[in-house]
Amino acid sequence: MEHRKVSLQERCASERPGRAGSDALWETLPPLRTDARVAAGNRIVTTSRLNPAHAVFDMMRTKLLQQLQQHSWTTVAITSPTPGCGKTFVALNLAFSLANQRECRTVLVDLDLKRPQVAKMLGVSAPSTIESFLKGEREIADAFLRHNDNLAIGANSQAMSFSAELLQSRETVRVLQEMRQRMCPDVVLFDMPPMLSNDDVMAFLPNVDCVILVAAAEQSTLGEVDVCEQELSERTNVLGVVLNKCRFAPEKYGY
Amino acid sequence: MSDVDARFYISILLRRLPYLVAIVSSALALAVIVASILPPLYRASAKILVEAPQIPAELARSTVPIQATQQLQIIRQQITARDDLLALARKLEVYGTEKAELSDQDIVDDMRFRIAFEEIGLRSPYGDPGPSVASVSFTADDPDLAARVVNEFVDLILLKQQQQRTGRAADTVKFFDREVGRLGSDLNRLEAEILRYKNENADTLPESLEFRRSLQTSQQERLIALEREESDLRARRSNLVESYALTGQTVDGSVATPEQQMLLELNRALAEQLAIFSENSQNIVALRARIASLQAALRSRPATESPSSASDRGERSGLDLQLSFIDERLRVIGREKAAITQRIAELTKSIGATPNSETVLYSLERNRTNLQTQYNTAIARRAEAMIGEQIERRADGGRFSVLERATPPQYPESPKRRRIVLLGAMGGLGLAVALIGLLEFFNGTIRRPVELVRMLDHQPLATIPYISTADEIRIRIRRTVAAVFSAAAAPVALVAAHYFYMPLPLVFQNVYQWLTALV
Repeated sequence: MEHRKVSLQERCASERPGRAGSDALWETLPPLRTDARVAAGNRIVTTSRLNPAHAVFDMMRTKLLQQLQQHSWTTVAITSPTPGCGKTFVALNLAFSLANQRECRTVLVDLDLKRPQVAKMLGVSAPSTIESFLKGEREIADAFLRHNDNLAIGANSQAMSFSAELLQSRETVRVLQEMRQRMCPDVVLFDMPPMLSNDDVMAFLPNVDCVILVAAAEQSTLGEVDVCEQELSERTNVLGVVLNKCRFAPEKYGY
Repeated sequence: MSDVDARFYISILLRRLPYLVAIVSSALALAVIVASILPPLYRASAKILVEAPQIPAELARSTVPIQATQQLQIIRQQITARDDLLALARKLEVYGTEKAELSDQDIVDDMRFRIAFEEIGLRSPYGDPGPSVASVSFTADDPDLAARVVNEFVDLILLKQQQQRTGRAADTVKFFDREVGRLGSDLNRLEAEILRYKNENADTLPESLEFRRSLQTSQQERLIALEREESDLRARRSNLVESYALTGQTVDGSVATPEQQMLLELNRALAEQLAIFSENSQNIVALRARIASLQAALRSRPATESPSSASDRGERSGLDLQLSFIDERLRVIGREKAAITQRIAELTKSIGATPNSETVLYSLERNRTNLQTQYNTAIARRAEAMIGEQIERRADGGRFSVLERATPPQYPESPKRRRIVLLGAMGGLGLAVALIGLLEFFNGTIRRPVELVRMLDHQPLATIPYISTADEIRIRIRRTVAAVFSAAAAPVALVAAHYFYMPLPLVFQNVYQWLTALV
């Protein structure tokens, strides 16, 4: 991990001029056409900024960026103890919030291969499956959609069963490495499956720099969060726990 | 607890509001139904004034010095005794048709449960127990029955009290009667014994001691006189014999015949003896016999014989006569002396035995005095007891009087419908709060960022509030409206049924009957 960190640093330093080269690739990505109503129905608050809750995501974004810069990290996995905690919701809102940061390039990849949600929540018909992209059968431009100039979203439309095996395969690691080199993103967000349901997260953890654990208030128990947090902190860096769906906020947000 | 915590708990309560409302309303409904189904119970009560004795104890003591309140306690126990209660229940038909199904023990327990005694002490400011008011009450589902039972109790209490007090007083009198009788018979027995003793020991009685002593003295004097006379006679005899031997003549010549002289002598002795002895004593009889025989001899002798006697023979016979007279006299004196000596010995013996019999007599007398004292005391006590009995008979010594007899109550005493409903509501509320508390206690899920902080020791990366979509908000509004409407509809329907169809208590009762018939 230490080695990779160094290499990443080197890469970012060395590829600063390469960023201009990746611009061409970004240009080729098909634009994302979101359905505003579907997005609003799925609680995407950071695109329109009408809902005051977007401030929370903005704060989270800033903290995230600071952490990443401080440790020269790029890849962030987002997972939760159990399904339905709002991983995709957090990932999408965070992604759109990051997209508002103009000079920051963000890539969001839907790695919840068993139950892909990103496309559904955005109300887009995904062009391809991430599965084929991870197997190296598709080009980046076929797999990703572009929002504005600095957010690429790798949505998925088909569920697959042998996801853990795919996520551990060398080809996947290579494809993702190549994606990072070619697109030169500042932040890569992986929307992962829930931790306690299957071994996908465990399988993929070596490929990420840090992890965000999403817990849903009145759904996740302290025990679950504790188990996940311990397990994650043994294997990688835990950026923090996000408490979602909190009906009782200690302070009112917004102005 | 800070303001934030309070808000948190209130928000939890608000979120669990459906549970709360459901439980409270069902408990309330249950309470309402129970309150309307429960049969009405009537409580009748009577008041009894318990007074202190009316005649001051210093003047005439009641023989039942028990406190009136204490007495009430005793009577209370008496009338709640099993047999009394059963008899009362049977007499007034408290249980009517149910009686066949109830055992005696059930009846007694139920009666005891339904009777209530209450005592309101009217404390006087001086600390001594003043009059107090006791109330007796009984609960029944029929107001008339309740009043009748209470009045029966009141009568029973008054009767028992009267019986108790007069009974006690009469017992006291009876006791003293017996005591007086026993002491009287003892006294009679003792007196008879004293009399018998006195009769048996008449000679040694101390009261005749003085007389016997004087008798003894006089006898001794008499003895001395006799001895003196005896010695005189002996001296005279020897004189006579001497002078006759010298002169051959009698000293005094012939003054009279010896018979006449002897008669004179005897008469004098008789007079003397009569002063001492009684008429029919031995000595007197002997003396009289001798006098009579002498007189007979004198009368039969011819008067001519004495002057014709010769002088020598006359002198000789004169001496013999004198000598025989003196001898006769000496013999008499000897006999008399022996009698007197015996008499003195007897007297001495009797005087010596007197202290002994005196002691016995004194102890008997002492016993009698003691008995007499006891007897007098018992008589006095009996008189007091009789006065006490009179007081009790006239019911002047602390009595019970009825202040207020029981009347059939107009309104049922229970069920307290309002209280039952209120209790139902409170119970429901308590149950709901307890349930919610339990739910929260066993709820291990994270609710607040604070809980995460407590576990992880650092702030969560972000706390995202629950974001409601427009649809959700719409649905929630719709649901709230529906709930409010349905919640309002139930009471409205009930009220409508009450006014337009059938009063609700009747409905509940019908339902209850139907259910019991079903079961």
